[in-house]
This record gives sequence, C-alpha cells and structure tokens, in this order.
Amino acid sequence: MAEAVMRSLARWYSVPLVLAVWELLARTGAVSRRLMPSLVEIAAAAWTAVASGDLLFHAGISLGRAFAGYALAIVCGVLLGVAMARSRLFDALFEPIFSFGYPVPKIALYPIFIFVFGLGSLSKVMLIFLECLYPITVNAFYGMRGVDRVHVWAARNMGASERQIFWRVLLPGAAPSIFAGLRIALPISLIVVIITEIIGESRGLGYYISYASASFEYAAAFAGVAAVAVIGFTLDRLVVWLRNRVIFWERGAAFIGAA
Amino acid sequence: MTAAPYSRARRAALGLALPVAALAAWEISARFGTVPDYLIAPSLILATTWEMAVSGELWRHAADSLLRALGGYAIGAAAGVAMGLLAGIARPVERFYDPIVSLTYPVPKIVVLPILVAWLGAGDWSKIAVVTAAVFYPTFINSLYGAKGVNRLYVWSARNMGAGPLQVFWKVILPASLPQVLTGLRIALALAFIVAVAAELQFSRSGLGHLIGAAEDSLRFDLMYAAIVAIALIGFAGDRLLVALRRRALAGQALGKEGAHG
Amino acid sequence: MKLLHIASAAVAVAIAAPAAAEAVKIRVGHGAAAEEQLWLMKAKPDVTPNQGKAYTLDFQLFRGTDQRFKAVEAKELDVFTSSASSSIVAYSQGLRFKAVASISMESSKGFVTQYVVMADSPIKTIAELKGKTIGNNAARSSIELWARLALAKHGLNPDRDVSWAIVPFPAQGQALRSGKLDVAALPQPFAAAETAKGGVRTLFTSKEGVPFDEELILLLVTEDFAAKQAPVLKAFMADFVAATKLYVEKPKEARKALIDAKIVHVPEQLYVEMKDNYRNPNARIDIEALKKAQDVMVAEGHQKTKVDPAAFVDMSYLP
Repeated sequence: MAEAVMRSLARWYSVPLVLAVWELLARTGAVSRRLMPSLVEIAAAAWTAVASGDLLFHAGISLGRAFAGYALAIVCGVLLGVAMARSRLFDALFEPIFSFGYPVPKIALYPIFIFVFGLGSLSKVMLIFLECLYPITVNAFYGMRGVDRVHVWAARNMGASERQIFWRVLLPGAAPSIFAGLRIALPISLIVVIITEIIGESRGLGYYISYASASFEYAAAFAGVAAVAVIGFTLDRLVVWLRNRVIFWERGAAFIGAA
Repeated sequence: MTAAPYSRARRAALGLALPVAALAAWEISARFGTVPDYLIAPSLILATTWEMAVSGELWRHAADSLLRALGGYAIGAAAGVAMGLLAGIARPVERFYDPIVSLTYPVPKIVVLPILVAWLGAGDWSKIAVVTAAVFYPTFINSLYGAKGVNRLYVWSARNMGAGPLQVFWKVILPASLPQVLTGLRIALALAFIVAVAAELQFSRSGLGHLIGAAEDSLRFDLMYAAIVAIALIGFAGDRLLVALRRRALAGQALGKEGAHG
Repeated sequence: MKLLHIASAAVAVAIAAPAAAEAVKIRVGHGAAAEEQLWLMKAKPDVTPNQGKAYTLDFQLFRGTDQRFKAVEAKELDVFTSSASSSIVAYSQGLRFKAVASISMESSKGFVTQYVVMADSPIKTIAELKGKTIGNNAARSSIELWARLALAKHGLNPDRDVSWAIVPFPAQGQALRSGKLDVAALPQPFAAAETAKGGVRTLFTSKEGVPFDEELILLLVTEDFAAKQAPVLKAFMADFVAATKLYVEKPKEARKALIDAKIVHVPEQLYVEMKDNYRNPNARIDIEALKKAQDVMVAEGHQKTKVDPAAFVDMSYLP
C-alpha cells in the first residue's frame, strides 16, 4: 500500500514542477508581489484557516452543493443524452435548447434564480445542475450514436433482446464517452459553486475566497483556491479510477512509451 | 433504430416547440404582472435588442466580446487538442499533464484573472489569456480520451502494413479520435463565451459582459437582457456552425455506427 | 467659484507653458455609484479647463473596490475611487496609496442608505426584527456594519437574533417584495427605484447605527503617480473641485449631462430627481470621521489592525 502511494506520488512529478515555477515567479516579484503570494505565505494562511476550522466548514458546504448538482446532472444528463440518441422526437425537441441555452451566462440570471429557487443553496444547486448537464448530455448523446453497428448486429445475431442490446452493447459502447463527460463536468460543478458563492453567499469556499480578497488578504484567498484545487484533484482521481475499473477493456492505444 | 429521420421542416418545428411555449408563458405572465420586474416581457427585450442592434451599440460590444472569446478559443483549443492527442498516444506526456489538469481544472480561472491582468494589462490580452486557460481543459480531456479510445487493432494493422508513426497518427489516430475531439470543441466554444463575459464583468470597459454589469447596476434590466440575448444568439450560431462542421468532417465515419441516421 | 476658475486657469498656464509637451494620460478606475463629480469631468469637459492640456482622462469602470485595488496592484491605474472603509482596511494590510479628496459622504446632510420593509409589514420598530432576514450586499460590508450597530442599539444580538442574506443590490428590492427578505438595504439609485414603485417604508437608515457623518467614497492616487506627476495631479484636482462645485450647485443639469454622455444608464426620470449623498464642496476629507469610523469597524470585528488615517490622507493636491 505504501509502495503504491509512493509510486503515485512519483508519477505526479509535474505538480511539484509547476509549484516550483509559481514559487519562482512569486519570489522574484516578476508579476506582482501581492497578487501572487509565495507558497509559503499561502501555506501559512491555509494552516491558520484549517486550525480555526473555518476552511473545513466552508469546504464542506461547497462540496455538498456541488455534489448535489453534479449527481442530479449525471442522472438527468445520461438519461437525456441516451433519449436524444435513441428518439428522434427527443433529439428534435431538446437539441436546440441545449445549443441555445448553454452559451448564456447563467450567472447573469442570478436574480431570476433567486426568485424561482429562493436565496439558499437550492438556487446554486440548480445552477450547478444546469451547467453540468450540457457536457454530460452531449457526451452521452455522441457516445450512444458512436457505437459500432457491427456490435449491435452481432448481438442481435446471437439472439439478444433489445433490452440486452441496450445494457450489454450500447451502454458499454457509450461508456468511454460518458466518462469523458463526467470527468469534464465534475470540475464544472466546483467552478460554478465557487462562482455563485462569490456573488452572493455568506458560506462556502467561494465566500471565503471573496471575503479574503475584499479584506486584502490575498494569501488567504489563495489558500481557499488551493483547497478547491485539492478537493477537485481528489475527486477527479476518483472518477479516473472509477473509469479505469468500469471500462477495463480500454486502457488506451498508446504506442509511445511504456504501459 | 431504423426509423427514417425527420424532415428538416419537422425537426425545425419540434425544435421550436418548447422554447416558444416557454416564451409565450413568460410574455403572458409579464403582461399580467405575476412576475418580478426584472423578468421583463420578451417583447420588450426584443424591442431593446433591436434598438441597440440598429444603433450599432450592440455590435460594438459584441465585436469586442467575440474578439476575446474567439481569440482565446483559437489558442486554447489548438493547444488542448494538440496536447490531448499527444497525451493519448504517448504515456509520458499523459503522465505529465494528468495530475496538473486534475489539480487546476476545478479552480475557476477567474481567480487568476488579477494575476493575468498584472502580467498582461487590463486590456484584451488578459481576457484572451483567461479564456485560453479555460478552453484548454475540455478540449484536452476530450482529445485525450478520443486518442486513447482508438481501437488498437487499427493501429496494429496499419503498422503491419508498414505505416510509420507519422502515418499511423495522421491516417488512423486522428480520424478515429475526431468525433471525441469535435465534442470537446463544441463544449469548449460555449465555455469560451461564458468565461469571456465573466472576465468582462470584472475588468473591462467594453463588451457584452461589461454591458450586463453596467446595466444591472443601473436597473436597466432591458439593456441587461439585450446583452444576454446577444450572447445567446452568438453562442447558438457558433454551436450550430460546429454541429454542421462535425457532420461534414465525420461524414464517412457515421456509416456503420448507431447514429447513421443522424 | 470665480476664484476657482482663476486658480484652474493659472494652474493650466503654469503647466502649459513649460510643458508644451504632451498631456499626461491619467488612468482612472471608478465605480458605479456616488461618484458623479468624477464622471462629470468626462461628461462635461468645459468644466475642466486643464483637460486636454495638462492631462487626458482614461476612464475604466470596475464594479467593486476590490477589483480597483487589484488593477492598482497590477499597475494599471493612477487614480481610483474607493470606499473609505476599504481604504482603511487596505492600508492596514500594507497597501500604499494617497487619499487626496472626498467624493461623497454618508451624512445626514444628504441621502443615507435606507433599510426598508414592505409598507404593510407588521414590523414597526427595529426591536421587532428578531428572527427576521436582513439583506446585505457583501459579507463584512458597510451595509452589514450599519445594520449590526442599529440592531445592537435596540437590544438585539446581530449574530443570533437575525439572519443575513447576501443579495446583490439590483435584486434586493425584488427579494423584499417576494418575501425572501424582511429588510432590504438600499443605496442610490436602488432606493429611488423602490420608492418610485411604492409599497415600501423605511424602517431605519445607516445613521441609526452610526450617528455621525462618515466618508463614503474617497479619491485615491498611487504614491508613484503623486510623486512623478505632482503638477498634473494638482491640475486634475483643481478641475475635480470645479466639477464638484457644479454638481453641488446644479445637480439636475449635471445629472442630465451624465445621462446624455451615456455614462449613467439609470432611467432619466428616476436619476435626475433623486436625492443624493452629500458632497463636500471643497472635496476635503474629514480625517476625524475616518478615525471614528475605523474605531467602529475595529470594535465590531470588521477590521483587525488599527492604522492612523492621517498617514495616507494627503490633501496638499487640493486647490
């Protein structure tokens, strides 16, 4: 177990590299002393925030909202994407809504969301849900469409029912694309929750970051940002791990470099 | 799955069904006063949008936003697709990018905007930079999985037939990854507009995002919606363009796939 | 007024003579409320004789003081506006600048932020706010500070007896009307808008909690600019005071000019008639007011370290 952890850490060598570059830029004041604090300052601010319990409290709230919206988006997105792929009616009905609705910055519609969903977490969860819906649906749609017909025919030849074809051929065939969608949507859920919390909220990491920023405590603000990064990183690794388990037959066509 | 595709007309009609119904409901409730006054009637929004379009004011702001969004999109998507494909075929490259992407993707790129402004000034370049950063991620991930998902058999048979690595990439990997790459491009385009607008809301003297912010602070919700409508229209047009492009680029590939009727 | 014009002209000549060289471009970062005199310099250049000669103006809108300070850190601005409270906090955090003029004040001599309830609301006194929801625009803002003090004065615990909802100003009126807020906090032009719509009643104002006059928005310059371009800054300030005088003496004409120049987008009827925050006609900063305001902020926990406002106020550039 320890060996596996060590191996993982060695694999993630690019992270310390990037951090070193940041530290270099920060220390030499190449960009701006204050706007780009050194990692030491950020770590100190993070330590204070964790010790006081603040950071964990706010992180928990943001995570809860993000997860709620994300989970809802997965369920609805996959269903919708699959439905759109299988039914001309669904496709014709919903596709324009997606193309038209997605580019609209829903942040600007925040007053409407307050009106409809109230001032609390629900309006944020709904916004997260809507924003995550697009990549998941689009990927599920194209995933279903892209399944090789030969596989379907072969299954049919072997006497599979429509139901079996759906669950044993189509869905697994669409799975890689669906997981790409999940991997893309997960950080979006975090991004949206942070941004909505920056705009109007008294709890959550977004609030924490904007409050620190407004108090001119930029190191603390970046500590909050680092918290978001770490959380997102962990969850993303989870999704990758899950993907490799579910789609065990596809480790990649890489033909350069060792496996 | 063997049903004939809808005729163009039928598709268009169905596509408009839900939005038109929603708009009608909105217009009616706005007229009869059951909604708050910032949910102003669509007819009024349309009137203001038209007025601003005609006066040229909307175009000016739209052009500025477009410059930033598309500029960032071009750079970010090019980088994302290139790196993603490379990472899909070369493990070392994937290992380099993977943890960085996992770590930095969840951070809203807006938080580094002040640093970009310090570096590139408060003008267009800082906004193009933040859009570039945001667009990189979905294009990278989709291209990565696109290249990874290429059937090994194709690669092997090509090599068997004597193809060198460059040929394998050009003739096998690239076409096979294209569907996923285009999906990523589609998602990224919409993201480019959103991020450009978000950046303009914070640091800008022009652009649709700037207009939305200024309008909201002045209680000019009609102006705000005109800007939002403009963004939606631009995004919609861009998305349609990409869908058409996708259809052309993947014309041959749809054969033999489930979605052949599309 | 005449003396001021002569003074401005004199400064202009003094500058124009040796510096037949180019006008210096002053990069100005401003906000969206309570800064009319500044915007007037762009809308009505005839009030600013030095513009185009000693300096030219490059205005940029930043919706929050936060963004303005970041732009200053990014070396993108020379002159900028800031709320007085943010200035003090910024200085206490080590940021450096000079406050050269007062733009507007939260004073009983003019408009003050209104905390309104629905006209038919059963709430008649502040004490009845127990268990209610109060609107705020941003955490730890002046809006919150004033309300907290008002509550404390009437025997309520601001942390336990009420809840705070952060809602952007444009949405507060509606949140109040749809029952999501019990009290909405409204500066201009939002107060004017809601009053025009009717159905609301002022429960208390910012002066309930803080009964003395306070500086609201200050004009700040970077130390760099003040050091390198002192004569230009003086010319700019002379014109600024001229613009202030115009705004104080002829507010309606001034506001109409702002609307015509498309600097302000608020509906004309609402904007021209509304009562506005008090401006000191000489634009002088009240340092005592800053000190008293800081004491309040520190006592309420909105600020950690105390500083001496006299350290960053420099009124030597005012005529």
